[in-house]
Order: sequence, then structure tokens, then C-alpha cells
Amino acid sequence: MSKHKQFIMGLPGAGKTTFLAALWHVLESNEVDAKLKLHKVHTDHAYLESIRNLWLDAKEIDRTAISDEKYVSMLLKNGDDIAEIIFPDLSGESFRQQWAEREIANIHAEMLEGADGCLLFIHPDKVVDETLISEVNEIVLREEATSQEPEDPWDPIKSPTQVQLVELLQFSAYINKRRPIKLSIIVSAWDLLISKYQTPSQWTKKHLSLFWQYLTANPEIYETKYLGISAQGGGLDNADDLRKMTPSERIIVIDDDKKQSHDITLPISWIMEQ
Amino acid sequence: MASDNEQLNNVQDDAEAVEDIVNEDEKQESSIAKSEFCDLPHGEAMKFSETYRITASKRVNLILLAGEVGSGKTTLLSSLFHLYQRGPYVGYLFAGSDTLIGFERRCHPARTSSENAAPETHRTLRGNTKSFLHLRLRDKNTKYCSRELLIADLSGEDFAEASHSVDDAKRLVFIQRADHFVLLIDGDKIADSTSQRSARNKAMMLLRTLSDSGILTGDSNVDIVLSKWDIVHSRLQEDPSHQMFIDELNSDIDKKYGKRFARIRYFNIAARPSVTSSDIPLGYGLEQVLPSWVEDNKRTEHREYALNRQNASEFNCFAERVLRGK
Repeated sequence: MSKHKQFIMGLPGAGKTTFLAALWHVLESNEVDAKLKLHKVHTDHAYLESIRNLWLDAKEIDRTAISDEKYVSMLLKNGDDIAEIIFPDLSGESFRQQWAEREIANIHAEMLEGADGCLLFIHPDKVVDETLISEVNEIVLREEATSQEPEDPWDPIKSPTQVQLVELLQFSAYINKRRPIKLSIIVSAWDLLISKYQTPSQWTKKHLSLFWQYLTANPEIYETKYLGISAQGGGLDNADDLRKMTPSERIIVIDDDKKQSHDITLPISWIMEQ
Repeated sequence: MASDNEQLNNVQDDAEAVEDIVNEDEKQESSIAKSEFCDLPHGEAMKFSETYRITASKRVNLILLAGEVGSGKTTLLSSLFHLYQRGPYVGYLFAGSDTLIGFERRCHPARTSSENAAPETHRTLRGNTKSFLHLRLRDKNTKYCSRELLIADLSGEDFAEASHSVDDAKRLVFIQRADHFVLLIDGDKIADSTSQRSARNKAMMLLRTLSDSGILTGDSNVDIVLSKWDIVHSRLQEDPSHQMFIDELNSDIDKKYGKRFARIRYFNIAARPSVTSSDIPLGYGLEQVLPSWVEDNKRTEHREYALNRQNASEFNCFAERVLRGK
């Protein structure tokens, strides 16, 4: 029997909570044939049920509307192999704090140390890109720069998403002393991109190029798998259509081989593979 | 039975005691809270002493950007980082950086998020000891290990002092360690008849002083970079005689120093054109110079020792006397 530890990461709004709600439903309902089964949960079931119910009703999982549960941990199994999945901070604020404040909670560092793998969530609608002033239409600049307000001082929160993500991975490598690790990169809300991009790595390479380069150039540290996941199955403006479906079958999981399934445990089971 | 005053005093004493306990609890909670966190690497540009952890264990190329104030040193660095955010550049993948915060600070004034009306670059302050930016690159076509670059972005004012005297120049002894010494000459001034002579003179004086002081020697790789090529190009359309001035400048440098240094090369760069176009895109000219910065280096037998041991004290002396100001 082998035991794995997996750490869930992602900036605020990256899709971690929606993923958890859908994962909990798949594990509890057995509606689809998932590679992993639930072994044990270390978290208050009431919280998991509350987000699950919102997900079932195809409603937005507003963190302010539910109890302030940040930490979740559960054990999943595949035969004799057990994976401990740790969501250290569903809000994502601690990851933002690592970048901005340059500090990590000791308890998070302990969880990360010795992790066999990480799931890193990225939401395509939340990506902040950089735009150079010299490349903006001159007319737009003149119109916008009518006042003599002072320049906005640099704030790390304004840094491009890909720079922050690279640093988060550099921190994890630093804590793990550059030990090799398996990394599932999850592009969430994949339903928004499915018609425009064939694979999640294609989207990542185009929109988060610095981050993609970093992963590609460090194969000694990161064994990477890209997945596009739509935990909701579509936009919530089509909630009526979503509610008509078998809930687990709303979930879309696609990998870089373009294999599609409803098995939301795939990013976790891949890390468990030898 | 205690008098009313005594009772009042007792109550007041108790209240003060409770307040002390609460304050102590708050202090303990605060110290507990602080001890719940550990520091992560700061990510800022490094002091020379901080570069040891990179130079000690990895093959590193040290690139020194020199030039007067406003010549474009910091802009060159920030543009290089901008380019890597868009994709692999000149055959190299971005493989990491220990100074992402340092890059971000330098990039911010040129972004729309700064709310500047025009792109700016903050001046590197005189005496700034946090001058080394780190970049790790990997050739995307080979299995070679990553290459580390340390690029020193020093204040133009520090170089201005060095160009005035051999003694001041000798304090820049760490230049000897540079694999590439890059002298940026402000193209905006060179292509302006009211300022080109003094700009030329300053460049020549700096080269002369660094050469006479033994800082730049027979194994020095020197790159002469004419910056702001977009402006130069535009001015050449109006007055082609500027090209003659530029050619004469390069020829003079070659005559005087061509045999004194291992190599002198000449480049035109527009790191951040004021308006990008297909003819002069962002980072114009950098693609010519970056590959050699990554691949070529000075190999001296005791280079690792020199970087890590012998010159530490020399650099510290330099830092104290010059970079921190007189």
C-alpha cells in the first residue's frame, strides 16, 4: 500500500471551491465511474454538503454566503493506494500573501513539504496580463491621461498572474528543496475555452507563456500534466439546462491528449501513478 | 471593612491588573501569530553578497550594464523581462529568476497599470547596492543545463564618478569579474547636435579611465550599445550626418581600444521604442546581443574562487566607499 500527499494551490477565484463541490458529489454519488473512491474525510460534512448543494442547483458558490471554511482534507483511495488531498486555503488569499508579503504560514509549509504532488488551479477569466503603455493606441492614452494625477505606485497585487504563479512554484520548489514533484495544472472553467483551444497546454502556452516556459524548462523538478476542467459544465446563465443533466455528467475533464471524461478525480489519480 | 476610597482604589488596581493581563495576552498572541509564519526569499534585486549562493554552485555569466544617467540600462532589463512574458526569446526558455520582485518594480512604470501617461523608467539611485538581477534561461533545443545570468544595473551617477578619476574607477573592481561589460550610449543625445559631443566625450572618458585603471583589460568583452535606436532612426531621416558622427565614434573606440580588449562589438538597440512598429519592435536589437551574453564567458582558472572569496572584501570596500555615497 502506498500513501501520497497532494497539495491544492491557486490564487483567489481560481476555481478550487467549485472543483471541491463537484469532487465531493462525484465521490458521494457514484454516478460516474471515477478512478478514485472516498476513503475518509477530515472536514465538517456540513460545509461540503453546503457547497455541494449550491453546485447541484447550478448556483454560484459565493464564499461569503457559506461558512468560512478554508481548510479541507480528505483521503481518497485507488485499490490499496491512498491519497491525502489537502486544500490548505480555499480562499486563495494565503497564496496571494506569499507573493505579496513574502511569508508562508508554517503549517502550510509543513503540508507542502513532502507533498508528492500539487494541483494548481488557474481560472482563465481571472488572468491579469501586462499591457505596455508604448503599445496602447496613442489616442486612447491621450483621452485617458487628461488629469495630472500622480503615478500609481507599484503594488505586487497588480503583477501579472503568470509572474505570481511562477513565484508560487519557485516557493514550493524552495520549500521542497527542489525535490521532483508531479504537478497537475488545472485550467478551470474549461467550458469557456473549449471551442477556441484544443488542449489546456495550448491555452497556457499562449496566455501564460512565462509560466509555461518555466514548467517546460524545469523538467527535473516538475513532471507536469495539463487538464482543462469545467466543474460546472457550462455557464451559470444556462443553469436550467445544467440542472436537467445528471449532475456528475455536467463535469468536463479534458487532457492534452484530448481525452474527455466526467472523472474529476483524474488530476489526483494521475499524481498517484508511479 | 474597607473605606469607600480603599474599595475604589482596589477596584482601580484590579482594573489595571486586568488591563495588564489583556495587554500581555495580546502581545503573546501577536508574537505567536508572527511565529506562525516563516520568511520566503525576498525576490528583490540582490546585493553582491547575496549572489554567492548562485555563483558558488552554478555556471553564471555576469553582465555589467554601464552608462550615464538615462542611457537606458534599466529599460533594457525591464524590456528583456517583458519579452519573456510573451514567449521564448532568441531560442531560450525562461527557467526562473530569484529576483522577480526586482524585475516587477522596474517594469511597472512602463505598464498601463501604473496609470502613467507615457512609459517611464525609474532612475537607479546612486549608491543603490541592490543592483543584481537574476535570470535563468534554458536553450529550448538542447539538453544543456540552464544558464544563469546576473545582470548588474548600477546607477549612472556611480559611473559618472568613475569616469573622472582612476582612483574612483579602481573602486569598480568587480567590473573585472564581468563576462560582458556593456556600455550604453544614449542614442537620443548622440543623434542631437546640441548634445552629441559631450555624450561622446563621456563615453570615451569612461572607457579610458576604466582601461587606464586596469579594470578593463585584455580579457574584457566589451559591447558598445547605442540605445534608443527608434529615436536615432527617426532623426537620421531628418539629418543623415548623424550617421557619420556615429560611425566616427565607433571607429575612434576601435582605434583606441580594439587591441586593448579581448573583443569590442557594436549594437543598436531600441529596448522600448516610444511607439512600437513592425520595423522597430519591443526589444529591437536585443536578439543580436543576448545569445552571447548567455553562451560566452571569461574563463579564468580561479574565477569561482575570486567571485566567492577574494573579491568579497574588495567589493564590500567599494560598496562602503562609493555605492553608499561619500
